[in-house]
Amino acid sequence: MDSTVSKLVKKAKRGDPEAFGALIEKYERFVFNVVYRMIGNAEDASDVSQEAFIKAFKKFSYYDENWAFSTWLYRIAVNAAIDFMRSSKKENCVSFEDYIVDEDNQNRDSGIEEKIISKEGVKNIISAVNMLDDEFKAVIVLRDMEGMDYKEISDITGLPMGTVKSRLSRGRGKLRRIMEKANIKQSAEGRGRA
Amino acid sequence: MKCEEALNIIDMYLDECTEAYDEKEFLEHIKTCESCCNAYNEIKRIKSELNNTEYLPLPENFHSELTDKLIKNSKNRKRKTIVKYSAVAACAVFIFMTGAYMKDLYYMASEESYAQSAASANGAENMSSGKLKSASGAMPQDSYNQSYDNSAFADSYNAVESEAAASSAENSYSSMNLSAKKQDISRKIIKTGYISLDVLSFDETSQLVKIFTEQNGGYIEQIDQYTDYDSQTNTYKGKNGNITVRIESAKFSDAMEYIETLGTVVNQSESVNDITDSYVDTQSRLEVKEQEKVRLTELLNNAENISDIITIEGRLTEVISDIESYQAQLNAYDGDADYSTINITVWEKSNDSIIPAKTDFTNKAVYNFKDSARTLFSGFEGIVLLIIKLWAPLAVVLAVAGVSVIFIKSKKNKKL
Repeated sequence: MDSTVSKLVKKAKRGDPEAFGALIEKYERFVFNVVYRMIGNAEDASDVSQEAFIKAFKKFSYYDENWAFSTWLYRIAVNAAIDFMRSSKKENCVSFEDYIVDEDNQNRDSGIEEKIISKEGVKNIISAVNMLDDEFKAVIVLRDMEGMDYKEISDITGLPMGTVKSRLSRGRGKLRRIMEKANIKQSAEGRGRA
Repeated sequence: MKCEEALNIIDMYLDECTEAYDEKEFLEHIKTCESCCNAYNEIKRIKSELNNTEYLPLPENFHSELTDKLIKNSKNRKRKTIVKYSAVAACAVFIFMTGAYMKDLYYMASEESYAQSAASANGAENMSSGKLKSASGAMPQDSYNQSYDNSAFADSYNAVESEAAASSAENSYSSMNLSAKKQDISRKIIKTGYISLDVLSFDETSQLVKIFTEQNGGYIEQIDQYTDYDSQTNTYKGKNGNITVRIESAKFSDAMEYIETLGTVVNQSESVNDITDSYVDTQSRLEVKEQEKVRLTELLNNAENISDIITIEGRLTEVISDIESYQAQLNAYDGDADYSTINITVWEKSNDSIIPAKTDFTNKAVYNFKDSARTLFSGFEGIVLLIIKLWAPLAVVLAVAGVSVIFIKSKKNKKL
């Protein structure tokens, strides 16, 4: 762990509010962006990442210094984001991944995929990631967007390394299909306008 | 290499994990298979696109909002902590007070039972003396009947008896006027008091009681004292005892009030026994016997032969004996009514536990402060002893609780 972070952590554990404030300043942008990339909405991401920091503040006494502080903090943030997505999914009940079961069902589900894409709209790569199932979002964001290695992802998500690898592979596959559908749709719309 | 295998390897190749497959074979397959090549390029493009996504700036006010929330949360935590510790402290005080209260109840119960046993012992004593008195009262009557049976001079006695019968008829008439007589004499009331006291010094207290009693025309009837040792530590605990005071009935209340001021009153009671009926009965019997004595004396004076004289003298002796007995009983009644009895049980206790019942506010405040501290200490002592007594089951409970807490904490850590 970075020696500065280590000192700040020690001070914060002793109840120094300024040290915890310094840790927040150091990590708030990273935490906010990880949550935003998983949720896809800046307003919700702001609330969820703030909740993650409050949870970290409350549970600071449980923090084991053998772990990197960033790993512990990301773990809280990722879990908060997953909890948020689960609760909002219950309310909205719309997800692309709810309809894609596996490769064999592609043809059967293709109609639904198009419906979802046309409804949600793939404005950018973030919105495409947002259409993934929750279990794939975290590994895709942490690996391909944050550049973390398998071990770190395994620590943050609490998943075995093998599961991380397989989810990463399947998640990328699904993301590729979403992007393909979106491109097909966009080129069809372009032809229509021409 | 088959396409299915190659598609699975794409991710590992892009993540630079080359140890699990043959890299050369994979690259050759990509070159020759258009479909796998397209998939590879597409995933590479997506990965690159994801990797190049720029960080969003933090929303405006993010930091200030977060700081406000943390301050609010910190205050709530402090409040919750205060509430939590207050609740724990309240529980502890409640346990201490309950422990001390139970201890007090135990002592009160034991002292009350002692007082009851003392009172019943006194009662039994009174009862037995009453029985003795009534027995002695009845004895002349029995001997009187016996003398009738054994008399050798039945004839002459019959003459006497017929006169006696006549006089008893007269007396029965007079007994009908008992209620009228009752009103003539003042009511005969025996007052008895009981006080249990905690005091600083048994000797000093008994001395003070003695002085007061003598100054008020009374006397100490009995003093018992014994030294109390702690059975477990065999250490001296104090001197305890009983003092029986006889005091003029008119000063009974004053005496009770004075004795109350000598220490902490643990228990107190007063009882009143109205003996007017018994007194009047005895007085009437006495009068009858007096009249019989007069008549027997007249008969004796007029007797002409020896046998009559002997019979009358025998009967006269019995009557005189009865008169003396009744008189003694009346004197005893008068004594009981004129002098009340106060039984004082005295317990010598340590300094802190004593407060005179009638004292000023400062002393009471100091006593209450000390009493509260003593109660707390006593409760603490009780709990420590209880813990020592129950160490084995408590150790099991603590072990189970400890394992549960560790398990819950590890679960929570995992959840984080």
